Amino acid sequence: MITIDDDNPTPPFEQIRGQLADQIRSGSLAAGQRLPSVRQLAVDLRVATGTVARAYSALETAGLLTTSRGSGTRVQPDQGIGAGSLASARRFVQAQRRDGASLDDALSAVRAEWARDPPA
Amino acid sequence: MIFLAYILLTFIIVAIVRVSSRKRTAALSATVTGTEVAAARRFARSITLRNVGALAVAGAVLGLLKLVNDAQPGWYGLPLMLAPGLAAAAGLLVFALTPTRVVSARSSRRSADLLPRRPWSYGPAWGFLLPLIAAAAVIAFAIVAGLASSPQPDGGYRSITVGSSTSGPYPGWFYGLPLIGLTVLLTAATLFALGRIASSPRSERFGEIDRIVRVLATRVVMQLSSGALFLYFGGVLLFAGWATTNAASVFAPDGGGVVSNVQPAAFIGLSEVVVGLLVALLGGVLVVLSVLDATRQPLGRGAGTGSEKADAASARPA
Repeated sequence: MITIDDDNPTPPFEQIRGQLADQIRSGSLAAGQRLPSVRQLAVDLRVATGTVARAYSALETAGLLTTSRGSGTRVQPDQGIGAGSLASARRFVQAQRRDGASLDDALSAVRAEWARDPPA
Repeated sequence: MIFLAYILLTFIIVAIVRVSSRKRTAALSATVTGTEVAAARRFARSITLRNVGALAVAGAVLGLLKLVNDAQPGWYGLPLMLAPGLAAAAGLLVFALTPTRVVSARSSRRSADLLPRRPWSYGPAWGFLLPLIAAAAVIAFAIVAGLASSPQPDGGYRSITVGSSTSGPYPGWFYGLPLIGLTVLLTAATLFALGRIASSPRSERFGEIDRIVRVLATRVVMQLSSGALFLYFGGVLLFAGWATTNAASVFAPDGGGVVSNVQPAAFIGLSEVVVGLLVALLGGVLVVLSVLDATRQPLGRGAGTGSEKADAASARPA
């Protein structure tokens, strides 16, 4: 499932791209799974076909999707986050919810920590 | 008499099919409730109207081609042979070009699922494969019959010659080439209609009704196209069988009965007649089933008492 919110300041293309990327990385969309056509997703979400095509293209460039004429758009294999990382994220989210933090608060905390301790 | 028996048999088989599939088809109705039941009912009526409209167009084309056939004896029954397929193709085009869907009022939040909808997503695989194989069989038969045919004095390949005996009408190239074209046209119209069913926008809040409407529409399309294909293929097999049997029969010189048969032509002819009768019967059954499914309401009689809530529903051409 994917949702578009007109009240969200993030452009529709980015909302689609972000949700698909999250679902691929979390394993909700399995490797090799076929995605709906650009037209189907566009008519269901009531956005322009170009919006969905742009999101698919960005995901393809990022190596998360592959598109071929015969088999359509599919999820590339080995794109999921490891089980350990997912478990850590789940624990972190649960802790943030207990503290009453919002998603933005939680993401800010991750960004701050990421910047404070950059990879070697 | 034969025609009456055909009609009777058709309706007996239809009744058996309907009774035996009652449980399965009962699942093809949804119940809605809430403040917008009336809108959901309008939607259901619009679907029935579209279906009946498509069938009415098919019926009108059928009647028109019968008139053309009567007015043009020089066409040797060609319009009548093509009538079921052309009528079905016309009906399918009307069906495809006026799809009806549940339309929710545009909200700021809209969702879509990530499962691809394909033309064959709403029916069993055999329901698509069998008609496709049958269409290939029609084309193969038309080619074989064309190769086996012989020309009439006017040059039209409408006869079959066995030994020194010639008989017709036979589905040689005169009938075979239009038959091949018709089968290709009917296949294309069917694929077009199935494609439109799959590609129309999905209703977010009426997920179950949306699915039922697509399943029913797919059943109507496949039954109508397959029924028309089997009807004209059955007819073609029948007149091929009669012509072959006649050509393979050796009659008494004094005008009496058949004294012997040329084999295996006589056996082939008789087989064509038997298979033709069965195929035509199957065609009739499928056409009647398509009419019944086309008038089936996607909303249950208990609309207004169930749990699925309607927010809005209307018909809109895609």
